[in-house]
Amino acid sequence: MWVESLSWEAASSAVQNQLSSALSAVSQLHRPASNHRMALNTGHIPTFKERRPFHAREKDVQEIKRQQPNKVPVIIERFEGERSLPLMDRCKFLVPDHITVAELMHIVRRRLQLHPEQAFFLLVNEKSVVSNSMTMSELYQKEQDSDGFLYVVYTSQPAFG
Amino acid sequence: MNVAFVPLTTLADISFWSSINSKKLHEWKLDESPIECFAEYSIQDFTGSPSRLSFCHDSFENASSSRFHGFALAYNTIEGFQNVDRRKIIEESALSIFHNIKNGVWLERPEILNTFVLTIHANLKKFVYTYWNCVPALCSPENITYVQEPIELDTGATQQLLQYYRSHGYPSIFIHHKNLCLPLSHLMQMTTVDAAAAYLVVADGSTETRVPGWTIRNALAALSLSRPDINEYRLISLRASLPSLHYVITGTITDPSKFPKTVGWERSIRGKLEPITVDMKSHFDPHSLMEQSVDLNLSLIKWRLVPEMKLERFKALRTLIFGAGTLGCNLARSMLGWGVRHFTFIDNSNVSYSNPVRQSLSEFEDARLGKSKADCAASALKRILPTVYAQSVQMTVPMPGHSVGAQGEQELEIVVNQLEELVLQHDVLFLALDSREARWLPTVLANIHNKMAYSVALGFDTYVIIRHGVGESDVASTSESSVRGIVSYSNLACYFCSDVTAPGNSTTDRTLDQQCTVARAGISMIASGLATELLAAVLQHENPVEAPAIMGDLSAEDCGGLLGHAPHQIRGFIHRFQQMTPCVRRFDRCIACGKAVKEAFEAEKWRFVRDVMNSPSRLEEITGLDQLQASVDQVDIDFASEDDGSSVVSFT
Repeated sequence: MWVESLSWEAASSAVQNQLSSALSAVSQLHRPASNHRMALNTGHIPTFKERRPFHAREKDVQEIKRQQPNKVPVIIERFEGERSLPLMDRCKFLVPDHITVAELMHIVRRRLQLHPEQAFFLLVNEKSVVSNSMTMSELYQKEQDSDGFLYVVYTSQPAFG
Repeated sequence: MNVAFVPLTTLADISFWSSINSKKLHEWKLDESPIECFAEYSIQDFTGSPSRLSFCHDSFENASSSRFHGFALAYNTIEGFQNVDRRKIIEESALSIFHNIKNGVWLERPEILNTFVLTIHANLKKFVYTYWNCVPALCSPENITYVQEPIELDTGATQQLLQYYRSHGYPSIFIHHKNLCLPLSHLMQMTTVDAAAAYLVVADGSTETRVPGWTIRNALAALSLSRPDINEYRLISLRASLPSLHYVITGTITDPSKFPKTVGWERSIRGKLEPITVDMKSHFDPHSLMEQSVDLNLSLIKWRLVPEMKLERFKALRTLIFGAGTLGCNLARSMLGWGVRHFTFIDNSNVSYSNPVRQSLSEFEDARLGKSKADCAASALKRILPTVYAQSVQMTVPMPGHSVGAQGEQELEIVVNQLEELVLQHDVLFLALDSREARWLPTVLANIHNKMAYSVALGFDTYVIIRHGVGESDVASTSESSVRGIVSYSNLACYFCSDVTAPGNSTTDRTLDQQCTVARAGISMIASGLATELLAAVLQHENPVEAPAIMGDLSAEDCGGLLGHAPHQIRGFIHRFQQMTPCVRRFDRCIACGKAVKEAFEAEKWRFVRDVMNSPSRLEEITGLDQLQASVDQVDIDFASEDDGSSVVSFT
């Protein structure tokens, strides 16, 4: 019995491997950028960085900065594993550098069409929570990525007890 | 006829072991050096009881001269106790007696002949004590025999001696000569004839009618070594309850300058030379036993790990826990372990059948009876530790968006006042309620009254712990550009600071899975444990309400307390088992800890709460968040083109 169950597991994991390689093959067809993570049951959605190579992102920033020097290029995505907030239809934004984080929060809130009681917060570079009073230009100076974008994720504020 | 002496029996009562517990734990710790100790010795005891040397609660303090003055040696391990060189211990102690005899100190202070070395191993965890006492006796002269066997003194003579004894400060030895009592110091001035005729009166605790006790031995030794010119020693065993005895002893001394043979390790009840072990567990009051044992584990931290630890800060802390659900229960349980002894739970609901598996202070029966959660948690804490102070308050915390009609206003006023009173009566608040809006009023009150407040909250696979800023914030005057560095406690953000809307009623139009704490089962323990440790780190800071947090990457900067750094927030994401400790400054327009809210509450009290309950947007108005919202309505943040693959690919 023990041996049987072992072999069953082995078989099932083999099936999974096949499945996932098939899936990643499919996804590679659909997406040009390097997709090194598998999108299986976690519902992982490739991030902007994963979809677009570094040189292309760098070029994006250079171009947009030339056109609009007073705006900050920001990538806003849903945090991996976030289950209660919706996705946004796009992730690349140009934010006026004088507005504050609080104002950006409002904009994100409007985009996500959240109920007033749905609370969320922004994580910069997936590690810092920033004060609402900070301006985008301050934040950008401090936290911009080497490609020139500012990476922000949104995730819901826990509230259960 | 050979001479025998009644040995002393060491009697240590429960109060002595109790004092050993506390001394070892709080004072001596790992130190094994000899501790001065004083044992009671009595000449009042009756036949049938042992000739006792008793130790009790004041054995380390009361140095009365009628007591034996000795030392306690408390070993850290049973092996240390067993392997100690007992020959050396007795010889060192006896040698000091010998010196005091030779240099005449004993003549002025005869009590120095009565000493002991009590070796102890105390198992503080099991309340088992192993001890072996040594009452050194110098065997001088040797080969002693009675010239005249003990005879009872008549009552009149005994009374005369006792009267002298009692009126002269209980000298353990004095002289009786020619019907006169004299201080021992006269001994050396006496002629050989007088000295041979005089009686040495020795306070003797022997409880055998015709047998002298242990104290006679060193008196005899001192006499024989001090007056080698006499060879018959007249002694009186002075006793108060039994008849006193007088007798004459002789023996041989080859060389009075030589250190004589010594005896003194106590024999066990079996007559063997061995230590005695007593198990006192059943004798201690179980409540104090529990209290002591709980303290034990904490006090041990001070032995080596954190000697400066201020445990009393936990003991004195009064905690107010909002929400007696899974977080509230686990918070209380883990704080108990730190020695926190004062808990108040606030909750409005009753234990339901789904609760006990996660809410660790309730069980099946509580659900069956539908007990109040707060009550249930408080009484469970008292069952766990009877000496704890735990109370419960059944109350629904007023919440923004949960509107209140005119008929509910009177009750609201009472509730708000009661809540404010409770906040004032406690030192720290834990916000472990089940929704965002329920955390609002406690946050407001904690901020107004400068109380420490910890928000603890769960998502499905996330948790957050935030310690709210305490004290007057100077965040506005601080340059926000100096973003990395140390942020003072007063400038730390609260639970609401990172949001820009007022909380609303999150229970209407919600399905059951959106209303209940649907969370991975283990994270409540993780979050509660971390919150408790964050509290501990703050409390062990030199000045807890000034414990700063570090912004940016954690460094070894010197702003931690005894237990290290106290971060501002701890956020966990269990889907990737990741944890971060961000530090966020206060938001001056915060709808809970902002200045405008504070002023509104202080001015209008419960009426302000009522207004917010009926219309949460009032919070956005007074903080100016509504204008902020309006100002960004026209801001466009889109890229001109979306043809570069930046759009999210629809993919499931």
